[in-house]
Amino acid sequence: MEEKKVLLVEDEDNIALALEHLIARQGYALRRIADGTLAMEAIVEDHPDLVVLDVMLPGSSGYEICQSIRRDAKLADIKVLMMTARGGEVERRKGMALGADDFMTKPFATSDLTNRIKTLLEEPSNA
Amino acid sequence: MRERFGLRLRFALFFAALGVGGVAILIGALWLGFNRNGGPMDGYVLAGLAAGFGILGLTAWIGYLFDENVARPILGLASDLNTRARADVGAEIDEEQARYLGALAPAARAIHEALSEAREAQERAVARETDRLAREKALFEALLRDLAEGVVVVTPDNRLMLFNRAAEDLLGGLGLDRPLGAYIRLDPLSHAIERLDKNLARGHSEAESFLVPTADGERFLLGRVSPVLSGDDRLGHVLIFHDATEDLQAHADRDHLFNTLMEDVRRPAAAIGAVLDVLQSDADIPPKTRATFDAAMNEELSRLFNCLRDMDARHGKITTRHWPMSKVAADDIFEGLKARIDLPLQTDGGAHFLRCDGFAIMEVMARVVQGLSQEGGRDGFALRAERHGNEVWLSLQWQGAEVRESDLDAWLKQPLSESYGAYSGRDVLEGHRTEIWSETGGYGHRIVLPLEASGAPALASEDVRPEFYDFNLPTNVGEVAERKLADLSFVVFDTETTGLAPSGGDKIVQIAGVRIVNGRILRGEVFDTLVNPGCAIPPASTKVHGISDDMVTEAPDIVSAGQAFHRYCEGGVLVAHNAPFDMAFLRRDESLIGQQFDHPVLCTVLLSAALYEHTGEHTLDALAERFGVTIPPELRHTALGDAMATAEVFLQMIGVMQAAGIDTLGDAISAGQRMTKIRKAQDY
Repeated sequence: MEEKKVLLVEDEDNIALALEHLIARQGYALRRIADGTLAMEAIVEDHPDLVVLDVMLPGSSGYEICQSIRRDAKLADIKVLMMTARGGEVERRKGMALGADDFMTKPFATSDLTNRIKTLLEEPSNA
Repeated sequence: MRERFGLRLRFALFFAALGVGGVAILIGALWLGFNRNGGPMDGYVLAGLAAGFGILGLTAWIGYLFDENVARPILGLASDLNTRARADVGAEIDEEQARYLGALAPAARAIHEALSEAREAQERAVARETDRLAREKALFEALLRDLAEGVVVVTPDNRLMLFNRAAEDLLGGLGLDRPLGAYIRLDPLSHAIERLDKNLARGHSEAESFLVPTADGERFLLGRVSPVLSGDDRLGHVLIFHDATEDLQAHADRDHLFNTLMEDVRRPAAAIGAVLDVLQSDADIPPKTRATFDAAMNEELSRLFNCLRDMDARHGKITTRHWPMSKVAADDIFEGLKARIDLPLQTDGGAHFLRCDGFAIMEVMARVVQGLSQEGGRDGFALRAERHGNEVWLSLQWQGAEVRESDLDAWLKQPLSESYGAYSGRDVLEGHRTEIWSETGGYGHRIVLPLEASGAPALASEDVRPEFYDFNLPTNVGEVAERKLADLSFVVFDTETTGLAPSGGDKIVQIAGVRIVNGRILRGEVFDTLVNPGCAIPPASTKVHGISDDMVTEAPDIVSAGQAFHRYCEGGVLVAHNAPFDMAFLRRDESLIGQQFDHPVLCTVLLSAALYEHTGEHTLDALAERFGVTIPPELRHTALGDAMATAEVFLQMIGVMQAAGIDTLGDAISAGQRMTKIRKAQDY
């Protein structure tokens, strides 16, 4: 079975350090991008199965990146899991309205994150 | 002599003297005849008795006719003329009562007509002058009414001379001439006025600020007080204030939130630090012990996360309170947008109301519409408001190219408007704790902006507008008994009951009252409530006042209705038609109500008896007829209808009382007490 690819778009180094460790331990191929403006290039280039996407990023925001993914029919099968440190329900609704498959508010239990990643990657793709 | 004997008594004495004199002359004549001519004594005695009784009877009969047709009509005519001289009574003088007085009745009618014409001419002149003042008054009223801040003007002894709608909304139940202390706690205000006085003495006339709780302690008002001066005289004070409760609460909540946050974060942080220290300092911890430490770490982390989520939600509530929100119709926002933007816009507000800063939201939507239209290729813009649970979503649909999130974000980062300084659309969304996003569906594309839904604002009644100012209130009041009747505030009231015997267990089923302040009936400040008596209303009583058991099922009991009425009566003199009857019910229930109705009381029956001794007619209908007051039949025997009629009668009566030398409240109470014994002879 082909190894699933996960792209982590996160500018917080310490969070990224932990998440890289956890996601890699699940057996997925992982790449991390710390800048919003570089994220789309990486997504188009790598075509990951899942993008774990922070909302507040330097350059483009996570919302813009999510919308760009959903606007591109060639990327329609990519799952998007968004994360934000802003805890309002309205942010979650905005993320889901823009096409995210799931939305998590920081801080979260890492076990919760890995469970959701696993669930998304086991779901049939959108395409 | 003139004061001691009334007209009728003097006439009676005159005829009595005439009769006695006639009999004495007769006896003298018979005695003379007997002495001169002699003859049988029995014949003289018989003739004397017959003639004597005849003279006495004839004199009494003529005296009775004179009383009926001359003395009483003269008194009636005199009281009619006196009433018309002191009160504006339009009804014609009844000439029938004085038909035997020759030219006196037509002369009285001529005086009445001349007086009416003079009054009408005077009223026309006053009306012209009033018209001139009416415009200025209307401007003044509009300014006061629509000010967002509460405005109150009080006399030096803190009675209300003026209040506006905002003050009424904040304090509730305001009424002219009522004590300010019934609505707010006076100590902080008194302190501010003391500071004001000291500053005035130093030559500074700036307003002093105050923070004062309402009388019930539920709200805080922040405002400024300044004096109303006329030369060296202090006429009163102006208070301008707003509700600071939420501001203070938000400050307190923020402090509390910060303190709670620090406390709730410190504990798990300390625990996590300690556990980490242990784990780092000892690499050889047995697996079982390590598992215990891991569980502790997870528990503390979970506690920390929950704390952050809780704080975030609580902070959101404070933030939305901080931004000035009001109830705004979605249609009003859309109409504002249409007027502002030169684009064809379809709108459908759906009669939804939002709690938001309407202008700021309109500006945000304007930024978005302008941004969308400038790029071209988009048309068919349509604005809609839809209800989603506790929210109303404002949506902007269009046909054509979809919008990039980056563009939307850029439009919202621009300063909103010059009026808002550096505030951007993004700040407005933060203030409203909301977001804006784009969606695509079968309808094309749309922008969605969720906002908190609100009920429609309560519509103010335009039918009866309370009189909310009176600058002629007396500024200095002495002992209440020594105050002139014209300067007092009255609560004219009436009750309807289950029966006529308060001591026999009958109960009040309706209380209504109206206030008279400075010679005006305040029709916008009426008190009117049904009362649940807690027992069946006899059908005979229902037939009189029309109040049935079904009507009082949901009505307040005498405890809450009595307390509300007691508040309404504060600072007033109670007036009722046959007041002892109504007062007996109220005073019997004082222990239940928890308040004493120890106000001064005046009774229009007793006052009428004092003013119009010649007649035994003192019913409300008779008084209304005397003073030309019309009581609509459908309102007769309703508490409010009778109270209103009694108020109009009493208002006219004040002028007549002044003419009769009844000038002060003490005079009126004394006159009533003198007439108390007459009550038994009256048909109420």
